[in-house]
Amino acid sequence: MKFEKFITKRKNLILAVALLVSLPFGLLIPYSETDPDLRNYIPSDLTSRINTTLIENEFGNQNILFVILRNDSMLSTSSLAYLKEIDDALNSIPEIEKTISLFTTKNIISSEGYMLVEPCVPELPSDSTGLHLLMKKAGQNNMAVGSVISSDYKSAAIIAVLAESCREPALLSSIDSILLSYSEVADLYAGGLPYIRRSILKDVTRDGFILIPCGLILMLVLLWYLFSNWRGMVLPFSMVILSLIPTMGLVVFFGWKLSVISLLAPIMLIAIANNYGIHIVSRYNEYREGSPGESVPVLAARVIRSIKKPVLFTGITSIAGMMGMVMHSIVPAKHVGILTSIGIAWALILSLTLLPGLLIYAKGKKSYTGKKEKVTISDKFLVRVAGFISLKARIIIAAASALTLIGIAGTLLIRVDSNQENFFPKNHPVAVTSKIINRDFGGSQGISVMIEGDMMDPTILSAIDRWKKANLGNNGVGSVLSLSDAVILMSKGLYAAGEDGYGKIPDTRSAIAQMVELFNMSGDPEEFSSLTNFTYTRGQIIVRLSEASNKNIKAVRESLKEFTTQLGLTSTIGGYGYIMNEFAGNIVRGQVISLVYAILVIFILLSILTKSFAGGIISSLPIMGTIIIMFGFMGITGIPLDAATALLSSILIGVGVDYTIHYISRHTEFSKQGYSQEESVRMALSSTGRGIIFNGVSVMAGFSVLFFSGFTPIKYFGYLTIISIGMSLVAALIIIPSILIVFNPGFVKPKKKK
Amino acid sequence: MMKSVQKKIRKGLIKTGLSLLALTVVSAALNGQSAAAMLEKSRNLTRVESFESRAMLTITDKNGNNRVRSNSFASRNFDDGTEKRLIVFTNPPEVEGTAILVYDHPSSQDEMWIYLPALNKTRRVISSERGKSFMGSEFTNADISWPSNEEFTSTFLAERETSDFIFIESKAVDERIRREYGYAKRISSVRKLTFLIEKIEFFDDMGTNYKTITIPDYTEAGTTGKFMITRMEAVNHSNGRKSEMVISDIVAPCRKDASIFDPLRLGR
Repeated sequence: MKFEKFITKRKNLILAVALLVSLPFGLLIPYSETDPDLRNYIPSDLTSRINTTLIENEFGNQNILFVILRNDSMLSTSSLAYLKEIDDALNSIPEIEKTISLFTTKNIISSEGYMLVEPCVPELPSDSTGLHLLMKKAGQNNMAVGSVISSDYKSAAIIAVLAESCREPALLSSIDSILLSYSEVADLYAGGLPYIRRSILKDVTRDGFILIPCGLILMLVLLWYLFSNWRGMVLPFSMVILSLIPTMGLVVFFGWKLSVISLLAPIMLIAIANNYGIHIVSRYNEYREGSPGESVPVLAARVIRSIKKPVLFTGITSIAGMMGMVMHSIVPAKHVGILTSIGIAWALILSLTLLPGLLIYAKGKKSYTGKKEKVTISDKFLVRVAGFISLKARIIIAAASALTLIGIAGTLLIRVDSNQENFFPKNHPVAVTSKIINRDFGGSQGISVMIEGDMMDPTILSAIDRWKKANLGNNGVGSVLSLSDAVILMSKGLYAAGEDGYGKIPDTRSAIAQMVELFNMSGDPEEFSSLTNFTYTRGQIIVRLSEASNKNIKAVRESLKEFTTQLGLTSTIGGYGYIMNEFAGNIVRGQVISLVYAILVIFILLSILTKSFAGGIISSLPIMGTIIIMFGFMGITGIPLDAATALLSSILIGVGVDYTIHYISRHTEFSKQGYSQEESVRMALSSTGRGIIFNGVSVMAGFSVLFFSGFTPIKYFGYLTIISIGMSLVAALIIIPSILIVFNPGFVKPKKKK
Repeated sequence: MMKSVQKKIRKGLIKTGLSLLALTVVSAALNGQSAAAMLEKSRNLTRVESFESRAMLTITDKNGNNRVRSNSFASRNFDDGTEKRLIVFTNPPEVEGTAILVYDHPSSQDEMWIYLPALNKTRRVISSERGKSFMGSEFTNADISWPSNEEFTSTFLAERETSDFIFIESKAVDERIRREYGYAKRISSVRKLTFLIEKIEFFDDMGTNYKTITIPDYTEAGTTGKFMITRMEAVNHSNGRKSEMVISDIVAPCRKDASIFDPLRLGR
C-alpha cells in the first residue's frame, strides 16, 4: 500500500528523476563507434589469437586484400595491359607495402643451358605466339597458378600486402577510385578481410539507422492497434524511449564499440521494454471497464497492487535470461547481455513507478478502452482454446512430447558457423568476390603454421611437400605455400624437364642452401620473408581455405599438428581461419553455459513464484521444450549456430517465460479460490490471455524488423525469435494449462482448511 | 718568447696558405666539369684493371640477426672493355664452392653464370634487372659494379654543396632504366678533395630515400694511383635491413690466370 501511495503522490518527483537519469545519456549516442573486426569479438587470451600474433611478429602481418580482374581469357594483351596499369596504380598507394601479381611473381625456367629468372609477365606480349608462350610458362609455375592466375586463365589477381600502419578507409577509397576508372573495360572485384570489415562497418551503421526507427514506428502502430487511442499508444512507448536512450548511451559510457551483434540490443529493448507497460495499461483498462466510477489515482494504485508481483517476476526473469549472455566469452554478446539487462531493469522500474503517474496525468475526459470488436474476437478465440484444452489435454501433452523428441534429433544436426563471409547475402559484393577468391585463388582465409627447425633440411621440405600433395583439394584446402614450393620452382630452372631433379626437392642440405642463395641473387631477398625467417631456423606454411567451414578448419589443423609432431618439430598454429574455428568453439561453449545458467536461474525464480519445487519444474518444462524444438528446427533446416543465433536461447528464456509466469499467476489465483482446473483455465485465458497474446505479438513485431537487416545471421535471428516466441505463447496458453489439468499439481490447489 | 710566438704564427700562415692553395686547385679542377664528368672521374679513380681480394658480407635484419657470407673475389678488365668478376663462396660450409661469374659489358647486357657444387651444375642466369640483390644483401648488382653514366642524367645540387662535399643527382633517363636499376634517382656525395664518392642516397618513384650506401673506407691500390673500397655499408630504410661489405687482402694486379673467367671452367 505504501508503495502504491508513494508512486501516485510523488509522480512529479518520479518523472523528474526519470528524465534526469535517462536523457543525459542521449548526448553520448552521437559518439558511438563501430568495430567491424571479428577478431575483437573473441578474448585476446585465446590460443589462436596469441599464436597468430607470434606468427605475424616473425613473418609479417597477414593483412592482404585481393583485386581481381575477370575476362574470357586473362592472357590477352588488352587484359594484361589493364592488369599492369592497375598493379602500378596500387603500388603507388602508400598504404600498400607491395603487390603480388603476374608482374612480380617470379618465373624460373630452364632452357638450353640457361636459367631464366623473370616475372611471369616481364613485358606485355604483342602477338598470339607471345601469349601462347606466356600461358605455357605460367602454367608450369606452381607459385603463380592458383595464386595470381586461375587455372582456367579467366581470373587474375593482384594481392596487395598492406603496410603495418595502413589506414583502411583511405586505402579502400583509393582502390575504389582506381577500379572505377577501369569499370567500363573490365569485370573487376575487390575483396578480402579489409573489404569485409568495411562492409560490416557500413551495414551496421545502415542497420542502425533503419532497424531502430522501423522498430519504433512498428511498435507505435501496434500499440495504436491494440489500444486505439494515443494515450494507450504513447504511455508504453514512452517506457521504451526512456530505457532505450540510456542503454545506447551506455555503450559509449563504458567505452565499448558497436558490432554486428550489438544491434540486437536496441531491437530487443524495443520488443521487450513495452511489455510491462502493455500489461499495466491492459489491466487498467480491465479495471476501468469494471469500475467506471472509480478515480484514476485509485485505479492506478489498484493496478500496481495486483500486477506488480507478476510484472516484477517477469522483469527479473527477463533480466536473468539476458544475463545468461554475459556467460558467453564472445565479447559483444557480453555487452548485449549487460545492456539489455540494464535497459530492461530500467524499463521495469519506470513501468512500475512512472507509468501509473503518467496514467494519472493523461486521464483525460474519455476512458481507455480498446476496440470492443477486437476484444470480442480474441475472447471468443480464447474461450474456444480453453474448451479444446479441456477435452484434449493428454493428446496435447503427447504431441508436445513427440515434437520435443524430434527436436532432440534435430539438435544433433546443428552446425556451427563463424565464417564472417557468410554474414552477407549471396548477391552481396563481399559474398560474390569471396566466392571467386575461394574458387580460383585458394581462398581468402587460412591457417598458418610456424615450424621451428632447419628450413634447409630436405627431410622437412619434402615432408611439407608431401603434406601439400596429400591435402590439396581435401577439407577445403585451396592452396598451400611454403619454402618447398620455392625450392621446387628453382629446381625447374636448374634442371630441364624430364631431367632427374626437375620439379623436386634436392636430397642434400647444401643443395637447398645453394638454391636459396641463387634465388636471393635473382629475386628480392625479402621474397622469402613470409616463408622462412632470416636465419632459416623457422618456416611458415600458409594454407588457404576455399571453404572455411569449422569442420574443415578443425580437420586441417589436426592434420598439420599430426604431421609436424611426426617430424619432431615444434609448431605454432595460427591464422584467421583458426581464430574463427576457436570462435566457433566459444559460441558452442557459451551457448551451453548461458543456457544452463539461465535455466537454473529461471527454475529457482519460478519455484519461488509458485512456492513449490514441482511448480518450478512444471513451469520450466515448456520453455526447455521450446528451446529444444528451436535448436532442432535449426539443425533440420540448416540454419547455423553463429555469433547471433547463439544469443537466441537467452532471449527465449528471458522473454518466453514471462507468458508462463503471467498465466500461472492468474490460473493459480482462480484455482486457489476453489475453481476446478478446467474452469481456472477458461477464466485465466479469458482474463490474462489477451494481455499475453498482445505481449507476444508486440515482441514478435519488434523482432520482425530484423528481416530488413543487411546481415544474414541477424535475419535468421529475427525469424527464429519470432518462431520461438510463437512457440512460447503456445507453451504458455496451451501446454501449461494442459499439464495443470492432467497432473493437478499441489501448488495450484487451494490450501485445505484445518 | 717572442721568437716562439713568431714561429707559431709562421706555421699557421703556411698551413692556411697550403689549404687555400689546395682549395684553389680543387676549385680549378671542379670548374667547368659537368656532373657526369665528375662521376666518370670518380669511377675512373676506383677502376682498377685487375685485382683479387677477399670479402666478407654481413647482412643484418631489423631484429639484429646476422647472416655472414665470405668469398674470394677476382676481377680483371679485358681489352674489349669487359670487366669480368669471379666470386667464390668460402663460408658458410653449405655454400662453400658456389661460384658466380659476371661479365660486365660496357655497352650490352651483363652475363652471369652460377655454379652450384652440391648439384654439380653450372647455369647461365639471365636476369633482366641489375637492380636485383647481390647475394641477398641490400647491395644490388648495380651497386657492386658501377652504373653506366649514359643511363642517367646527372646534375649538381648546388643548394646542398658544403665545403667538403659536392652532391650530384642522377636520374634514370627512361622507365626501362628505372625498372632495371630499381630506383628513380640517386644522390652521390663526392668529397671535393679526393673525388671519391662517400655516400649514395637512393630514391624511389615517390621521392622517398629508401636506401643509403656509405663508403667510409678506401685504400690505395698499390702505386696505381687508384683507390679501392675496403668497406661499404648499405642501409635499407624501408625494411630496417643493413649490409656491410669488408674487403681485405687486396692484391693488384690479379695473379690468377685469365682462364678462370671462363664459364666452362666454373667448378673445376
